[in-house]
Parts: sequence; C-alpha cells; structure tokens
Amino acid sequence: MTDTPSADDGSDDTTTPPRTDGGTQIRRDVPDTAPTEDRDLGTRLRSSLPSAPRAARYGIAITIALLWLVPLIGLFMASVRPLGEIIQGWWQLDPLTITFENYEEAWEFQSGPMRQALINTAIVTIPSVLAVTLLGTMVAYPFARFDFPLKSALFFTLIIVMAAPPELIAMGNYNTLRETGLFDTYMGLILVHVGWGMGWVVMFLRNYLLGLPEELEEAARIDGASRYQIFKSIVLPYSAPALVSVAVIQFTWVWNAFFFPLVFMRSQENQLAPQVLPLMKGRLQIDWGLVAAGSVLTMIVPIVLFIALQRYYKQGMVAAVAD
Amino acid sequence: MSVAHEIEDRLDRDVDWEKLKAIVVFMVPGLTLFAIFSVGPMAYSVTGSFFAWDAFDMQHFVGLDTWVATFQDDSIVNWENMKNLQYPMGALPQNLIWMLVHVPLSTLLGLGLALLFADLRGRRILRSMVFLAFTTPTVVIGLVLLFVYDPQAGVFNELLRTVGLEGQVRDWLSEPQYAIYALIIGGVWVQTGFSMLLYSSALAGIDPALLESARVDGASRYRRFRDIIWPLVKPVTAVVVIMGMIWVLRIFAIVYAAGGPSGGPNGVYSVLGLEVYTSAFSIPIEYGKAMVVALVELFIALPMAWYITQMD
Repeated sequence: MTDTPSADDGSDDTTTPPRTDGGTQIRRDVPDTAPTEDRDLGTRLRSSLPSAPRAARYGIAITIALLWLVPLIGLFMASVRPLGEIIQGWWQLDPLTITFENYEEAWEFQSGPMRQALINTAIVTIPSVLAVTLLGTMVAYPFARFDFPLKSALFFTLIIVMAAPPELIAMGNYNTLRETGLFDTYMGLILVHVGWGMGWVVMFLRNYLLGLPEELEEAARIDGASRYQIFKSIVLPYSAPALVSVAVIQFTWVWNAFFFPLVFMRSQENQLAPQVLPLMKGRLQIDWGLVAAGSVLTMIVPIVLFIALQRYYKQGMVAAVAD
Repeated sequence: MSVAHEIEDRLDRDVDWEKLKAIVVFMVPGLTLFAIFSVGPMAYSVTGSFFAWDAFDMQHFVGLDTWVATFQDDSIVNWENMKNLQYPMGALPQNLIWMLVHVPLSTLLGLGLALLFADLRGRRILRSMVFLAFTTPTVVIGLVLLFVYDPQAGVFNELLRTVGLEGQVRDWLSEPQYAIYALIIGGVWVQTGFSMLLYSSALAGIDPALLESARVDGASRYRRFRDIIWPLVKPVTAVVVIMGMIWVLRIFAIVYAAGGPSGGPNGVYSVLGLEVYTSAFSIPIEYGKAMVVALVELFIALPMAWYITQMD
C-alpha cells in the first residue's frame, strides 16, 4: 500500500485532499518506518499502473477535455494560417503554412486597429478594476461590521442590482453621459463599469468580511487605533485573498465586456477590442484569419491572467455564487 | 419631559457620532457612484416604461400602453408563429427556450465532468481545459461558433462529412428552424466549465472515508451517488441552475457576434438583451420599449437572485 500514495496534485480546492471516489486506498496514518522493498520492481510497476477501468476513465477524461478545446484550437490554427488553407479546413495539416500576416493585418485593421483597441481596453479596464476594488471594500467594511440606518434597504438594493441585466441601466446612463459630456470618453465608460461592478463586489466582500473574526479589530480599537488605521492595517491585509479574487474576476469581466463599450463608445479611435471583432467579419466572405487573429489578441490577456491567478479566480467564482 | 427632548436625549446617548462619521466617510464615495450609475438608471427605466418617448426625451405619462404594445410586438412575442412552433417566435419565447434546453444540459454535463475528474491525477489541468472557454470574451465565443458551423471551413460540418452525413452539411446558423439550437450547444460548451467548477468544489467537501466505508459495505456505484454524493451536492445544484438561467437571460455578445444586431435572419435566435439594444440605439429609437424589455428580464431574474441570497 505504501507505494500508491494518495498524493494530491490539486491543492486548489481545500486543505484536505478532495477525494470522492472511494475506489482507491486512503492513507491516513504516517508509518513509523520507511517502506521496505518487499516487492521487486516489476510488481511495483504493475501495481502503480491504474487498473483497467481506471485507465479507461483517464482515456475518456482526456478525450473529453481535448474535445472541449477543439473550437479554441481551431481559432488558434486559423489565426496563423493563410485564408486559402483555412477554407480547406484548419485540421488539414498538409500543406501547413505558418504566417503572421493575419496578426499584422488585425494589428493595423482599418476600421479599428487592434494596436489602438487593446490600449483603449487597458485604459478602461485597469482604473475601473482598481477603483471598484478599493471603493467596494470601503463600502463593504461598515456594511459587514456596523449597524446604521437603511442598512437592510441597501441590502435589498444590492440584490436587485445583482439580478438586473446590464441592458436595464443602458438607457439612463446613455442620457447621463450625454448630458455631462462624458459620452464616448474613457472616463464615462470607467464610471459606468465602477458603478455597475459595485453591486456584486460589495456583496462578495461583505460576505467575506462577515467570515473574518472581529477580535483583532476590537483589540486594535482598545489599543486606541482609529477606524481608518484599523481599515488600513487590519481589514485590508486580512482580506487580501478576497481582494485579489475580486480584482481578477472584475478584470476579466470588464476586459471581455461587449455591451457597455458598444453603447457608450462610438468613435473609431475610442473603440475597445471586443467591439472591433464583429467588424472584422466583413460583408461577404468572412476573412477567418483576420477574425481569429483579432480574437486571439483580445483573449490572450484574460487567459494569461486566468492561468497565472486561477486559484483566486476559481475561489472567487465559487464564493461569489455560494454565499 | 417633552418628546423632542426625549429624542434628543436618546440620540446623544445611543449614537456614536464618531462611528457614524467613519461609516459615512467609508461608504459615500462608492455608494455615490453606485447610485448615479446603477440605481438611478434602474429607477429611470422603471419610470420611463410608463411614459411616451421622443427619441431620448421623456414625454407624457401613458400608463401601461408601452407594456401592452411590447407584448404584442412580433419581435418580442410572435404569437402567430408560436402557435405553429415556427421560428422566429420572438425574443422572449426564444430566450425561455434557450433556458429550457441550455440549463439542464450544462448542469448535467458539469456534474458528470466533475465526477469524472474528481479523483484523477492532473484533474486541475483537465478542469482548466474545460473551463477555458468560460474565461474567453463572449464576443469571441460567438465568432468561434460562426467558424465552427461554417459550411466549408467549419469543424462541425467536417464531422458530419466524416461520419457520412454529407447531405446534412449546411450553414447551421442560417437555418431558421435549427440555428437557435446550434447556438445553444455553443452556450452549453461555454457554461459547462462553470457548473463543473462549482460541482468540483462541492465534491471536494465530501469526506472520502464516508464513500470508502460505503464501498466496503457493498454499496453500488449508483447507491453511493444517490445516498452520499447527491444529498451533499444538491444545494449546489440550485446555485448552478439559477446561475445558468441568469447567464442565459443576459446572453448578448454571443448572439450579436454570430448573427448581428438583428439576431440572425429575421431574428430567429434573437434574445431579450438584443431587443433592448436595437430598440434603444438603432433607428427608430424606442426607449420605452427597450425599458419594458429590460424590466421583463429583471422580473425573471429577481426571484432567482432572491432565492440564492436566502439559501443559508
């Protein structure tokens, strides 16, 4: 039994190994002595290989996971091949010409160059994520800790806003931005994203803060720390994991957002990357290479972020809906 | 003592002014933006749905006229085609059909994959592979679907050719009676990753010793699922189903990218979000109608969001 450790490769879920099958052994006690070589190499190798049904499960699991990637693999393949070959099918590997022309074309696309669109997307995304995270924590802290008038009214308002579709606030914001001269500006779109993101961010952080023990803050209070000092030196550091989750999810959301830019950004030099992509379809024959290259350029940022911070992303996703 | 005095007295005694000041300082900046850009526009839409509109300007009170007209509008509910079960049926029924097909499929697939991957080595990578589509911009998803269903360059039609169904090869997103289902499959492809993620984290909370002892006692695979796993993942199912329904209700970019602002030929897979956009921001501008449609979306979502917050 000693050579089939139930090592857990995915500590992303919980502190205890997430085992659910009961089909394999469970090692709970650490033996006092090191395992002895009581079997020869052949036996050990054979017993460490998965059993036939288990091997079949691996086969099915890997096949499904790969199948799930096929459309995205196709997108990537189309982005690096000339149109002539894409029309024949991106899965045909003969002939295989790798070219970066599609990327060059997308980079300089005439009705919205990616070069500009990606910068615009970053200009809008970064400030709105930072602002919503900071302001959201500041609202969530008293919301979780203190009693104040209209507290339950705020709670219900948050729920309604979280349930509302983004389309519901488009008309009002369109008129507001028009009247204030913020229409078709970075600032206007940033403000809409911050105001709209506030709903779920406050609710999420409130739930997180409710789960943190209050003793530390009380002790600091007795020691004479002001509420601002407590917020800065206790609440913020202790909620760091939740703040990262909020920032990552909000970043992906704002970066990928399509509806708000479509409504609030009109001029060509202000267009955001997701807005430009449907324009690349053209009128008659769709230039798949161009569309694919533009798509890959747009999605690369959220995907890299997801891969780098997936622990926070997944934790946040689970917590955001489980509370 | 007069009432006024008493109130004053209580205020002095009970209210910690320093604390109240701190609360205000913390909350005002965030809540101001929240009020101006979320709550305000929502109230504006509620009010505006009862008024007549001249382009972007509110006119006189018309009561429920806009509401009634909206439900008689063919682009929202096409009663005639609904009777014949023919697309386009209008955005509202189509959105509901989408929900009805999409949610059970993505929930079951998510649970299935979560169970399949639960104890495999490298499950993190497997899960990420399935989840990747969920982190992709939805507008890219729409374009990817357009590509997948392309009659010539699309991998789906190639699959049909490979299995000998050459006769079925077509541009699936231009087929009025099938297009919506082709898109729904794409939606399921994206959302399964999300439900799998939620189920995986619920499964991780199950004590393996429990399953092990059930196995030793001779419980079959099915019994173990029904008596141990299912009761523990049941609450998650409610969340998965509701989040799936809200996700479908808000679907916009996928449809826009695949079929343009009209939602496919004649709007055969138009959804509510798309109708809000076209009513409000394309000629003729119908602000009132846009507000009514957006409110219909809210009314469908509100009980579900409420249910989630009421769960323990």
